[in-house]
Amino acid sequence: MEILVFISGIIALGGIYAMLAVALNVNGGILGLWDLGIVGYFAVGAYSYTLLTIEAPEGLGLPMIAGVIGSVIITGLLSLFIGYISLRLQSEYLLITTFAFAEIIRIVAGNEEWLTNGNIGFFGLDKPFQEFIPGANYMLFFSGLVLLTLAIFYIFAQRLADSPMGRYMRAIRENEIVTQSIGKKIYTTKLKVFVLSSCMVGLVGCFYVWYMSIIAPNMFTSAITFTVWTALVLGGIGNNRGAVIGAFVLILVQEATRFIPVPAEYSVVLAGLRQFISGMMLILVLRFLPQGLIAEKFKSVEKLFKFHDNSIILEPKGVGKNAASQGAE
Amino acid sequence: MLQVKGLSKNFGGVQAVKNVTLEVNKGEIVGLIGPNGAGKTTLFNMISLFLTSNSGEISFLEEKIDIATPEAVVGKGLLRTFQTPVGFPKLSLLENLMVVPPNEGEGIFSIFFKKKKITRIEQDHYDKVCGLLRQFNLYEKRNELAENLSAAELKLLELCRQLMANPKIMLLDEPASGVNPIMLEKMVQHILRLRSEGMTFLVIDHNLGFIYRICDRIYCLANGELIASGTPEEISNNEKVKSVYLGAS
Repeated sequence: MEILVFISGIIALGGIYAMLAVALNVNGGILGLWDLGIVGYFAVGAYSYTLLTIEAPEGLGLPMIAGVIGSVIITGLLSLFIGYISLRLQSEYLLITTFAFAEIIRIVAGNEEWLTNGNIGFFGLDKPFQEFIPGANYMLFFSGLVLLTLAIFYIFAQRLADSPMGRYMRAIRENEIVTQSIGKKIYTTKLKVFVLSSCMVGLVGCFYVWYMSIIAPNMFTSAITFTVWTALVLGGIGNNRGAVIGAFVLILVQEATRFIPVPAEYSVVLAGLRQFISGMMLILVLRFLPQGLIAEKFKSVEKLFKFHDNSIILEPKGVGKNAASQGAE
Repeated sequence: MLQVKGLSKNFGGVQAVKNVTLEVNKGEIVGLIGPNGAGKTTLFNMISLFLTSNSGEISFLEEKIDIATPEAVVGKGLLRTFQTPVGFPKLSLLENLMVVPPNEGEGIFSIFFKKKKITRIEQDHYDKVCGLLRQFNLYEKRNELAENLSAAELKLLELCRQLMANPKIMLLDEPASGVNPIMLEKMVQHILRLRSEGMTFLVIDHNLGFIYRICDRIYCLANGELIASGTPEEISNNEKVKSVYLGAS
């Protein structure tokens, strides 16, 4: 039984990272924004949920569902502000700006003691439906909840990627200037998608609070941003399935290394090697599978929308099976 | 149709374009030639509003456009191609073109609530794209990624992409460079056919044979200044043009 609980704990954590990776894939993978601020929205989501739901005097004592909705809205508004002032920047400049915002958020959370209780944070936070499922079994239920939400995230992101909107986003990623030259308002689109992705991350923040049942600024270091980006690169940028698989593989490897038997006197040194392993994985994947474990798949629009073109008869033609003509049978 | 009056641009101390005035009338093919660094592409960038000019004015369809945005100009029907055609490398040809027309499906909420309507719009765009690809002999490759096309095919794709946006005037930046003679002949046929359908062109190119053949009038630019303008015969006999191109007179 304990092993089951342990496994479901890993699944829950993996699922949380997978959700982050899917959300990041929407703006980092499909739209191609170099966003290193993901942990910032994660922290804002988590903190706003906590402060909305925790009892007075620290918080407002709202019901859980109001806390979740509120945290998504607050994250959205904050990312709207960040996006509004930084999205005109290109690649590296955007990267450094978003990174700085994430750090600012963490430092504010550590110092504004009246609001966030400083570095101590809050602990013993409630989890959803806790009273119905007692004790250790709760983790089984929680991992189910995470997987369900992950499925919703995945379907949403997949639908977005396959739609005209997804095509437009990939066009911006491929060539911004050309997209502008055909009359598209790319800034507005970037801002919309940026806010959408941040709202998704904010929602995952609530799950993180439930998972940890504590909240403190040092939970939101840039290590999370890099883990999520690593997961996305491992799995395959631009591919939602890759994002999910990358996150689970990374978390699994990190957790599995706990069981490597090492002599006690080396344990401290070897613990540092866990970071080394994820770094090594990243390097190996980039060397041998530069597209990630699952490359971004090319889907024919003809297949997606089941277009019919009855004017002439055609042989199936093109690149590989994906591109086989749907034409005129 | 398109008027440019006294347009100037300097980058720091370099005066890239000096007081250029030119005009393109409806249904004309106007050429713009000049040695490397003459300011041709800078002029294009200013006309399509990717760059703001330091002085001078641009009007299109009797309307001043200097203060508009690049997107707004496209809406009016002024389209441009780029010197190095890349399109959207990781998108198929179909997608490269289907992304062009304004589409209600390019909204986050409409994807989920207006699926039927979007499928209908997409089908319309798809039909239009297929028709266009057939005209340009690219239909067989419609599901290939744009990065797998040859340079000449990419140039054709650039033309198709502009045509998807219902242009009234097309600014072509070096459509003939890197195109083999057979493809070039096809390109000429396409441009002449489009003109006979009422399209207007402003074309930059270094291939003078190509320019002399298709253009009604030619402007020659050197060091940012207009040094000559006239019909192909006048330009080909102009001593100044010969001297900037050949370095001797």
